[in-house]
Order: sequence, then structure tokens, then C-alpha cells
Amino acid sequence: MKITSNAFRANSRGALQDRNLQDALGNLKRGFQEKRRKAKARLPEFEELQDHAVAIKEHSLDHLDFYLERFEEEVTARGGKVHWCRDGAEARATILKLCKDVNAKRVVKAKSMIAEEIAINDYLEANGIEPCETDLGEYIIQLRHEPPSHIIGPAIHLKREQVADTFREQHPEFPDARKLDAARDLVDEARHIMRPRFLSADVGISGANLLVAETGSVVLLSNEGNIDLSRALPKTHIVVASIEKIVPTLSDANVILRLLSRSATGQEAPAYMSFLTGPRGADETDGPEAFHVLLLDNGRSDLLKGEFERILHCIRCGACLNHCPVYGVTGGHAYGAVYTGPMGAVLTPLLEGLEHAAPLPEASTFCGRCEEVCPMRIPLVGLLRNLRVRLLKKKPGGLATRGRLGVWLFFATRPSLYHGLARLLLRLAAPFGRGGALSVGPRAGGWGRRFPVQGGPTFQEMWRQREKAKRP
Amino acid sequence: MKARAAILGRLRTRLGRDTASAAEWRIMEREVAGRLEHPPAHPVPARTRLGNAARRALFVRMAEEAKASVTPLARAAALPESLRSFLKTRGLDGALHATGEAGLRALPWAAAGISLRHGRSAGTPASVALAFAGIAETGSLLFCAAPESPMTVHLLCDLHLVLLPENRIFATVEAALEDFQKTQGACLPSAAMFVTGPSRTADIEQQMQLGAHGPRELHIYLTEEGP
Repeated sequence: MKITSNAFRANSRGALQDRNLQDALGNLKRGFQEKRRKAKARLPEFEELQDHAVAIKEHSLDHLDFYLERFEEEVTARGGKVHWCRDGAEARATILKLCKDVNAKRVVKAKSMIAEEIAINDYLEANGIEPCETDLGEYIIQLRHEPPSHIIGPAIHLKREQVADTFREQHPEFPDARKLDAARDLVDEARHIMRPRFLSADVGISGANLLVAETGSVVLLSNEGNIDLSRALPKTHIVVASIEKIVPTLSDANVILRLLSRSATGQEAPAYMSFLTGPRGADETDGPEAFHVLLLDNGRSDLLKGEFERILHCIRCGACLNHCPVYGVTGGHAYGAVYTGPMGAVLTPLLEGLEHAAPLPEASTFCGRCEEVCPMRIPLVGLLRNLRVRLLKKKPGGLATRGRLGVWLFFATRPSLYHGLARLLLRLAAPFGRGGALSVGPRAGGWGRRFPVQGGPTFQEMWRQREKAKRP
Repeated sequence: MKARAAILGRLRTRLGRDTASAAEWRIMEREVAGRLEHPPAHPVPARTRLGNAARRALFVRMAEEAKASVTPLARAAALPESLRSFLKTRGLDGALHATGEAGLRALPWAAAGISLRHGRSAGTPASVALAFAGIAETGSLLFCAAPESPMTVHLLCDLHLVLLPENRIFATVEAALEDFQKTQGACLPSAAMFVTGPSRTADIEQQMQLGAHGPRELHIYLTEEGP
């Protein structure tokens, strides 16, 4: 997709005015946050597993060359084929060639962030091949020509009435008067539409949650069953995976898998978890006859051993999105890129260039909830701060900004002056406050701040008094 | 091949391999080979370290939590009769798509008026399958692709009816895969699919709906004996 991250400020203003979006985002808290918390509480080993997962990723990245080669050997030994792709253009060309080789007319797609990253759908369509998204959320946004707004729930920004309108418009084969009020009706209609597509597709394309070097396996998780159908029915299965998805062994994979679904949806396990190893065996009657894995770099290797390496630990669970106060009010589309929320604010500038996504590192309050819930313990705040430093080095703030910061610095490094001034300002501001507080900044949905101004003592004064009272 | 060399070259530059001597290179290779052969012991949830009865109970609890039903059967031979009455309540005739393991085929289907179809499925109201294993930790079933066990049987049905012998319940995914490797003499099947409850989606307003693209219902028949 063409990224529009530089319009983040304008996009988020629009998002704050969007009633439907604000309602839909309200579900985040009740849904994902609560479920994750409960799932984590039920697994006392969660944090110990996190330690192991981080160590596994560090080790895998430190030996990425070895493990990718081993993975290739194993896939090849099982009758599959590995294709190395430096960038999106190479990946698109490879996929198109594989589709053309089997004369493919229709492709079924399982939800995949990497497929969004390389924008494969538009490319296939332009080349006369019909790409059908099969995940319900992904199908809805394909009909609406929108990018996904969330890693796990691509259509999380929509209310069911909007989905119903889209279905009425795009499914003329169904009677106009049909009932589409309930989520059940919508799910059933999509199920009905998708079944013949699965059965008639020539190629299935999926991403990969993990790659296992030891066995040459691709691990895929889903709840709808669409990934396994996309893979088991067509004659060709094409997996697109970025190189950092690799882990050494099945045992390592299971550590990360225990964290993944709990962090993503709060499930102990997804409805479907498949370890796929090569094409169908002799005498097997379903499964793909051809098994292709694309290993895509697209900027990852440049991050290795650098200050941003830790973002390569990301397992795309979406927990940082679900807990981010900024994402929680802007939604995903405001980020103007495939990857959104805190992990997207780090990854998008690194993959697309800081100049194309300059506002994203600023789109954080640095509250740190993202780090707290990240199963891979990625220091997202630190990474965002590093990006801000880069940004400032490239383009220092204007004279006014630097002037204001200079004034602040002057006082901040002279504590007694700072406290005295704070005391004075608070008392002077008291008459202007409403309900004992002064609003600063825009007031729209959750933005801006309210400072208490009651003319009373400052925090430091209260603290000193308290400490004094404690002393005998 | 150009891309392969370029990517590996870039990785090796970033990882500082350019300066590695032949001896250092051999050490790294040995390290990686050792790590693959003997991965470090990772934590396994303590709740899965159980005796047979407790493991069975955990499996049932977790499967039910994932919205599967679990019906205990004293003998596998009782399955056809049990399914006959169940199918009747759903207004279905006695035709089922089935996996083709000898043990499943040998059950008294004809006596219960049920006929079985085998092979790849293109969609059916109900299918019956023998699971390779059950996973107590998560209440999952493991199906392994094989000539007699096409994956479509498990995916293209509304009612997924599964026979699982109690002695096939393992503590974890790891333990079940290890059993496959030991008993089947292969590293992994072309597809090892762990199924936990019926298919589902929460893509509409985060409301959980069962029966997305796969089965709408999953019914597990847990037998003390056989097949």
C-alpha cells in the first residue's frame, strides 16, 4: 500500500470525529485487554516463558544465516521449494510467476500482514488473477478497498451496520430483503460466499506465524479455519514469510506459541494451529501438490545488530495496539500504513524511511503500557525515543520550539527557582480554572490535559509537610 | 540465486561473519548443530504434569471451555449407535464422511444404519474422524495428514464428530508430536493440525460466533477402550 503516515495528525483529527470508529474502538478494552489479562493470570509460567522466548529470538537472529539455510535444506528435502526475495518487488514477481506457471485464475488468501506489506492483491488483480481474501475481517476490508486497521482484527474499526451495508452493496446475488442485523447473519453469508471459492481456487497464499529450521515447517494459526482451507484445497500453496520468523526447533516454537495466542486474543490456543511440512505425501488425497516458501528480507537485514534489532522480535500479536491510549482513540487507519499502533510506529519508519512516516514516533505518550504487555519484552518506548532522536538530528525543531525548550531547561536545572515559579503560577492561575481545573490543548475525545489549579500548595510543599509530620 | 546470495551476504556482513576465521566458523557450525540437536529445556506449564485421570479431566475441561462437547463412551464400539441417535435429533440421515483408519472402519456402522464415505471431502453436513491425539493443556485434538486422513474431512463439515481413545491424551503439544515421531518413524506429517473447539470468528464487533469457515460444532467421544 502507498503509505500516508505523514498525514497522521490530520488523520487522527478525522478519527476523533468519527462516531462509528469511536464506538468500535470502545470494544477494545472490554474485549482484548480483559481476555489477555485473564489468560496471563491462568499461566503462572508466563513470565518465565517470556524470558525463554526473548532468548530464543536473540539466538535465532544471531544465527539467522545458519538457520535460514537449514530451513531451506529441510523444505527442499521434503519436496518443497524456497524462494529468496530481497524486496516487495521480487516477492510480487515470484508469486505472479508461480501463479502463471499453474495457469491460476483464482487465488484464495489467508490473512497475512506480510502480504499486505508487499501489496500482493493489487498486483495480482492488475495481472488478471483474482485474489480472494478468506478471513472474514480481511474479506470485509477487501470489499471496502480499505487497509487492515488491526493485526488481529482487520475490520475492528467497523460496526456491524456498516458491514451489512457493504454486503448488501457487494452481494447482489442475495435478496435485498434478507436479514443482516446480527453478526450471525453476516458470518453465515460470508461462509456461504467463501465455500465455492475455496473449492475452486488454483493457489492458496498465506503468511507464516513461525518457521521451524529443524523440520522445515511453517506454523500457521487461525480461528476461522480459513488458513487450513486455503492451504488444503488448492494444488499450490505459497507461503510468504519475512526472514525473522525463524526459530531453531519445534520445542522453541512452542514457547512462542504459548505466548502468542494468549497475548493476541486471550485464548489458551487458537481453534486451528498447523505445522505444515512440505507438499502432500504420496497417496494423500488433499493438501497442496506444490509447496513454496518465500523468504522475504524487505529491510529486515539492515536492522540486524543495530539499535532497532529488537523490533525483529515482534510476533505480531497486537497486544501493544490493544493497550495503547493513542491507538485506542485514533484506530489503525490514522497511522496510514500496514503496521499500526506502537509496533507500527517503530517498524513503519524503519521499513519505509523516516521521512515518509515522521509523525509516527511522535504518536506516543511514552506511557509504556505497550512494553508492559509485549510478550517479547520489546522496549518499544526506547525504540520510539531513538527514532525521535534521529528525527531531531535530521530536522531540529524551529527557533520557537528550541527557545521554549531552552527556557524550560534553564528552570529545570535550577530546582529551587523551578519550584518557586511553579508555586507562583499555580496561585495566579487559580481564578481562571473551572471546577478547580484548567484545560490545556484541544478537548476532543481524550486529547488535551486538565491541570488542577486550586490555589493550594504544590506537590513538593505537601510532600515536605507530610515528611515533617512523620518525624517524631 | 542472486537474491539468495545477496540476502545471506548482507546477513553475514551484519553479523560480523566476514572477519570470522575458518576455525571460528567451524565452532559456530558446531554450536548451531548442537543447539538443533539439544534445544535448552523450556518451561512447560506445571498444570499439565498430571496422572492419567487428572490429565483426562483437564482435557475435558479445556475442550468444553473451547466450546466442544465431550461424551464419554465405555467402548469405541458404542460410537455408531450413539451417533445414530444424535444424527436423528439433527434431522440427518445415516451418511457420514469419515477418515479411513482401520480401527474406525471396523466399528459396527452397518448395524447402526450408518454408511461411511471416505477420501477427500468437498463439504458434508457431518463427518466422523479418529484423532491422532488429544492435548490436555488446551483441550485440543491433533489430526495428522495421511492417505487415510485427509484434512478436508475435518474442515468441510458442519458437525465434526471425533473419536478419541483416553490413552491418546497427552499433556502438551510437544508430547503429542514426540509420540508421532516415535510411533510413525517420521519427523512430522505434511500437515499436523491441532484443533481446539469449532471454527470461530470475532471479526464483527468482537462478538464470538462459532462456525466461521470450518465446523460449526465439535463433538468429542472419549472412549476408555479401543479402537
